[in-house]
Amino acid sequence: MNGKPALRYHATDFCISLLWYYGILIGLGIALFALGTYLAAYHGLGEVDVEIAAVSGITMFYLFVAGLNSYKADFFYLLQNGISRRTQFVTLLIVGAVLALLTGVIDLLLDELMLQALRSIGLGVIDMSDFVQPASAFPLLSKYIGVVFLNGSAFFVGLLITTVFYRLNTLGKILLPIGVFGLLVPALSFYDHYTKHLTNASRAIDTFVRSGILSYLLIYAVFLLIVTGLTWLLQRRAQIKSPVS
Amino acid sequence: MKGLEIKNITKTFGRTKALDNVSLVLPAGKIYGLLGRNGAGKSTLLHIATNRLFADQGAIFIDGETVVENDSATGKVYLMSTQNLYPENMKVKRAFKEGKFFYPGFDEGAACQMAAEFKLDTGKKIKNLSTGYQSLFKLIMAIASNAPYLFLDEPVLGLDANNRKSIYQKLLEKYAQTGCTMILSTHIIEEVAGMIEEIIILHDGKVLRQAAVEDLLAGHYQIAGPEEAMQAYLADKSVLHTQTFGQLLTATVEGEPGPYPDSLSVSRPELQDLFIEITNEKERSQS
Repeated sequence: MNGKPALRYHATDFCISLLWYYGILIGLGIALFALGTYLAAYHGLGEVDVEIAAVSGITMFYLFVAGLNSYKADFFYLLQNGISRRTQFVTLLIVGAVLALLTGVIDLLLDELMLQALRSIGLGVIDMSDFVQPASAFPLLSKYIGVVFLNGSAFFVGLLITTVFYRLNTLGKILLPIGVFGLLVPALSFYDHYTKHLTNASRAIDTFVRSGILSYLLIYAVFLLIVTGLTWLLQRRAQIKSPVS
Repeated sequence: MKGLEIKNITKTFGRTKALDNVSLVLPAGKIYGLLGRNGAGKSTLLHIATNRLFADQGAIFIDGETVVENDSATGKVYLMSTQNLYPENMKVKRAFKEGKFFYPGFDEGAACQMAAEFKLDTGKKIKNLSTGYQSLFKLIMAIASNAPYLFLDEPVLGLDANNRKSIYQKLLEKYAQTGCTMILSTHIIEEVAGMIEEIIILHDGKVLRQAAVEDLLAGHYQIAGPEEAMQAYLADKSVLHTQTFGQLLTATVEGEPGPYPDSLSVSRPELQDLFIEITNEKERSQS
């Protein structure tokens, strides 16, 4: 396996994209802060309860979209340049992991900065990672793991969705959403309404996840293994689709 | 073995058998012409040889290594196909810059020089190039890649006569400098007839002929003359094709001419004519 060329390609691609993303985000943050400061100084924010999403929450959506955009075009381009599917998949795993770890650090720093800045002018912050943090004696580590989990999951789920849709034919692309949202979800809802099995299972997993960092990491690892495993199963036999003569 | 080895490749798309038990041995260091009518399976074969498609059966080896999920083997090949596999927003200059990520011998300077020579705007997005300029871009990538194997599928699609001539010249220069192996898959046979050393004719997914161009041409001749004399002469010959112009009959015949009457005249066929007659003959025999 020769992963270096594919890694260099992905690194260049994501570096440019990340620079744009954080550049815009910081610019918006500064503009928001300036606006808040102006409003607070000249008009007063009074009883208005304004809450801004934390950077980590926004990054999760950014990485989800990045995951959605990380398959077809790259698959074609890397195949054009002689890179096998296995190498492509392994390098995407590495890239996804590095992105999650790196954006986790940047997001924590920016979140802290934003929190202090916005609180100083009376604005609040909604932090999505608060909902998925494991219990720990080290709140910062716990928050970091939560952010990395959200960012990594968003990227790999996006990658799985785009891979599924690439592999499906037109009929499959129509039937899958209908099957999932029109049949599976209502069926599971009915099933859960009468048995409560799913609710109880979900509560049990939630309690287990929050019981400590190790259990959290275990669940996270299992989840990622399922998502990336399915992605590999679909990518390993993917072919160029356009008709050939 | 140094070269390309294709063993019993079969590939089906739905009900269509694109390739049917194709086996070929192509030693390295030659220019091959991969010929065939539309739908013969040429592009499918090249796509399988570069791991873009999977064969249903069989295997392909480059320098003894399988091409299936093997970066070491596929990294030796640059396949220029009619499809654009470059990202939609990629500009020509970025593709030139990234060429060396994938091909260690990629010569960015030479690529830029060729782009200037052919007036290819490197600041343009690849998807916005015209068909001819897309072909030129991919040809420049292929030549600058310095890959030991260049597979060129319809390389001169959309190019004007001047650019076609210049590109053939560049390809021959590259071949003379590096001794790379080239497979040219094209329908413009007369233009590449002087370049290729060996031809492979695919027909309905099967190998119809594989031969050195010289041997193939030497193994056929065209003969023309009055109909009566021709009928007598052709009686025991393996005739591929005949055509009547008034009292005059012309025929393309397999084998050596041997003794023939003075009223008949013999000539060597053109490669393109021979290709047409070989494939037509096959279709006639099938029907």
